[in-house]
Amino acid sequence: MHLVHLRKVLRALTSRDYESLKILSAKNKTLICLLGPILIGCVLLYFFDPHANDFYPKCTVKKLTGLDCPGCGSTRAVYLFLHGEFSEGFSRNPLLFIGFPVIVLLFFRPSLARKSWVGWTAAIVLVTYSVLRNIPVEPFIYLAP
Amino acid sequence: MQVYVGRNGEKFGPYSIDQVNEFIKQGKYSFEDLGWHEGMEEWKPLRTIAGVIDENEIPISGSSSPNKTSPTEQVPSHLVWGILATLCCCLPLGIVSIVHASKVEGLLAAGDIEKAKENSKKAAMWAWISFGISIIGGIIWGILGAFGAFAEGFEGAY
Repeated sequence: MHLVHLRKVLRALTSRDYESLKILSAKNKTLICLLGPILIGCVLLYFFDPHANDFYPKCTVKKLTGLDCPGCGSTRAVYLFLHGEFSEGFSRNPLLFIGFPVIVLLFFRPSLARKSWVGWTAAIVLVTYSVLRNIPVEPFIYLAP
Repeated sequence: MQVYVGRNGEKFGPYSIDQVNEFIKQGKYSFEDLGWHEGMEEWKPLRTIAGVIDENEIPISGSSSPNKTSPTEQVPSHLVWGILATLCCCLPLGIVSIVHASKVEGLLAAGDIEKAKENSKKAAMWAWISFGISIIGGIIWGILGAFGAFAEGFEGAY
């Protein structure tokens, strides 16, 4: 369903038929606005190693406090994944690989995103994860980036 | 606006846009059927005509939810943004957003639509504040980093 939409949008853009873009739902507009940056990010990450290049945006919390946040390691994880180093990538941020499908699911199923328990679970998981990955003792070090 | 519908070379109508939408919902016409209204140079598929409903908005038969028109439908929780803000932007503000998002359903169930909307708004607001701070911070660190301001000590902040 969404691929059909994407094709429609591309066709509208290439034929300069901007009028037909107006019928897109807000959700699909958001999706298109997100896909662009994600694609650019992936291309950048493929060619420039975040382990060696300094120009990538850095995590503000990490900079200010030195603590690892729940998202820390994601940039490197994506880089490693794009280069086929799956187990290395996974260990940079294990939660990312569970969290990403969940976010995609919630995006396409807003009724699920409105459920209270989903929200509370997300909050608890994220807070617990942030605490655990900053404990410098086994087995928690495996959660650190 | 009066819309004509073309199907298999035959012309139907004119209909109002609401009628067309109704026909599409009933399955009488499809999005691929051609449509034309005054001002258009040529016939185009109905889905490209402004005002025709979005394909996604049509309830899929069989799984149509009874609460389609209930208030829950109108109050988004913005939970996705809260989670993204927490994950990507590394900010406790993201958690604030998630907590607000989680309250929406309960408040709606209790019938307090005003409060639910307020929480929904706050969830979105905190998520965006979190994004904003992180983007600005990220750019500043990025520029400093590009100029080699940190020779060391910031390893692994990506």
